[in-house]
Amino acid sequence: MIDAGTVVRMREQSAARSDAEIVDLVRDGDVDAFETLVERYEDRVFGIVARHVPPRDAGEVAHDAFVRAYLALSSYAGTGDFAGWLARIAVRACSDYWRGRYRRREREESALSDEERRWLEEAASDRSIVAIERGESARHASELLDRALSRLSPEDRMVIEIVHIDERPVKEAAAALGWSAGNVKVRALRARRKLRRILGEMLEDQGGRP
Amino acid sequence: MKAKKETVEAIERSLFAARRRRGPEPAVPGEGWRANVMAEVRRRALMRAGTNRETFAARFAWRLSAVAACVALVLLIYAMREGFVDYEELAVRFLEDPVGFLI
Repeated sequence: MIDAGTVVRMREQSAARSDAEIVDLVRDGDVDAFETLVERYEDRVFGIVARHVPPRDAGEVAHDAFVRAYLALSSYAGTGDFAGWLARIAVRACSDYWRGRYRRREREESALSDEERRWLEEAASDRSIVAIERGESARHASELLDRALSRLSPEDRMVIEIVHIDERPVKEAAAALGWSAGNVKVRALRARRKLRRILGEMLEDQGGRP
Repeated sequence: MKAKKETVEAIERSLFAARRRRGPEPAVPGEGWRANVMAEVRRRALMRAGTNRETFAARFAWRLSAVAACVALVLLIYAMREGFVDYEELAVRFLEDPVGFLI
């Protein structure tokens, strides 16, 4: 039976090791060593996930990302940046989250709420952009954006969020999405066009309402 | 009525800006969340070990079946050459008792 002191010592030893060393330990069958990687990168993975999925589901998707990382450890070469490799898995987990939701037909297809409609009217009528981007209004805007993004494919959604909303460099987006830089540029452009068309349709529907 | 391109672009800019201003990200779940992650990782590790054992057993069984097939083929060829013999004759041959004294 391992006592608490031994567990603490083992944790300290693991914490002092590099990522590659811990990966080797896990590959050799020391599953518990993986906890050090979870501890080391949970903030980062959670940060990525929380930006792309609803807050209530962030824990579940981050959990999924770490389990996937464990299962894919044999494909990690050990020479590259482990954090970057893990970030790609986290982005893919977000993409799959949206794919799963679309499959279950949980898209936001209902009519706009009064607040969302008001926000859209204010934005369309040239009111102060700064005012509508702040406070409670920002929440309605965020919901409205989610509604528009939910009409895009998971890939288009992710590329818009990473390139246009988070404003990450193309190279970084390419690494996160596992695409080439050229592909990211083309898809980001096309996805943005689609988003604008969706926003235009929302606005037109709004214009037609009494 | 078709929405103006400039209006749509302005709305898009505002939506993006509003998203960037969205409140602080929710805090990382604590020890409980990590314990759940590790519980699933350990479960997957056990499943994987089980699968590996099954794969090994299956590989061994296939190799054994190949050997068994070769032995069966050799016996068949032998039997066709020598003709089919009943168990008494086989016993005589094995016991080297060609006269049938013992049996």
